[in-house]
Amino acid sequence: MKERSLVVFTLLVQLAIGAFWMLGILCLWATVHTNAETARQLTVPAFLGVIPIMAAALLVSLLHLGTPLNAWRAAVNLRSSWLSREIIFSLLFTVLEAAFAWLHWQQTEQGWLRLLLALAAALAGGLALYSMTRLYMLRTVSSWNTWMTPAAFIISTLLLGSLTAGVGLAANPEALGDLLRLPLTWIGLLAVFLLGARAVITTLSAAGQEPKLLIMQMSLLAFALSICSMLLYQSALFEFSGQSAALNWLVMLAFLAALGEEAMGRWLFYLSFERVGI
Amino acid sequence: MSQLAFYIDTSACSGCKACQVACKDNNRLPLGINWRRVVEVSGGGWVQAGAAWLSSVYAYNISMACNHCVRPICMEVCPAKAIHKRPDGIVLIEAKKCLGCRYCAWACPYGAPQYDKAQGKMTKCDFCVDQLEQGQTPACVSACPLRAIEYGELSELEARHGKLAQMIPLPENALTEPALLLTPHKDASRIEER
Repeated sequence: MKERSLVVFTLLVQLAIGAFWMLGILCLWATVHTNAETARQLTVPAFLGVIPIMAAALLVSLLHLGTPLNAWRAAVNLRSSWLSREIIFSLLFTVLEAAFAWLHWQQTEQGWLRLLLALAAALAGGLALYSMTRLYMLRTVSSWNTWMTPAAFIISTLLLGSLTAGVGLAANPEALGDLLRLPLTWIGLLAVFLLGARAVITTLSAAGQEPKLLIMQMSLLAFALSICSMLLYQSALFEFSGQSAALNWLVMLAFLAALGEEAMGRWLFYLSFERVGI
Repeated sequence: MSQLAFYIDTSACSGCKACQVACKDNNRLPLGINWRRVVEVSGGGWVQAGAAWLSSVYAYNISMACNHCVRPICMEVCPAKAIHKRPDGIVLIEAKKCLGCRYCAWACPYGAPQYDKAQGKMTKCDFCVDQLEQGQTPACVSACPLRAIEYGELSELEARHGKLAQMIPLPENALTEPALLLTPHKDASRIEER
């Protein structure tokens, strides 16, 4: 089914945009609480990691096309097609993010340029996410043309983005030492809240869904919620000595659980397609 | 601007599908693709009338293809500008520009754009434009044994048959402003009464 590649594409793009936003916030926080060099070391691998994620997303998006050689034409109708806008802003986000990550990695002196690129990339990401939302809110598709579509996409972006940033942080625990507790606690708290919001949306949009798939989605959600609750608990009690490896695994598990749950949720979203008319 | 349109007399349509077959034959459409489809609408049941139970079962047919809308949503959403509207109102897909993303198929409330897997492109009713240019009529119009399908200028058809009536299961006209006129089957109103 063509939706498989769309599930992967939309989730990867949302993950990348969310991760960029969260890493930006973390970088600022780490600069204030430690120093610019520590903040840089802490976030560079993750900022660089966003580039292959976006590249993979864009490549996967080709798989649902009947004529991939015409893919370049997807960007020509900016005037009225939200799909064209989504592609343009996604490409723009990728280029700006890559430029920023490279400068951040290379420790260039041009701080103003890095800041400008970071802000432009964050904005392009926001516009890509907005276009992606509008793309699905077709006036003829009653099941998607509701507030739940933007809500679901924002939840995916923030949930996967924050946990990706968490994975990046926990992979290098020495950089922050005991300070690691605070960002991970916030990430755990945000993840628990977002998964709760996801449960509400899944319940509200359950009508007409295949019961087996719905049960599977709710089970994955419950699993992700319990792992993220453990993460919240563990990071709140975190002591640097001896616990960092376990925490690293816990953050990774929380990320994978949330990714699995979001993939199932997105699959159900595509299955819920219901158009007016005949 | 000119606007060609179809007129369907659903009160006369017997559901024989001659229009569907003629369209498929004329355009050499592959298995699974029907630019014109005949859709059956049915309902009713048993209704108590005093001591008796009466049958209220009904069924009628609607012959449906691309309605070459005045405001075609397929053209609006197509990212590749592969769909355009001619000065005579006919909406066409340019195959060489189509990337086969199927977004138009999601958007069209009449199910008109259909994906041809072999070509990797979208296809849809082209109003038999080649035949029109040779002074002939579209295949579906010629084939209907009950003369239930007509075509012509939208304004002229409206003068003869009145404006498009809102009819179940068609979507709201305001969504895309289809260039379509219908004479509703007598049982179409019964759905709205229920």
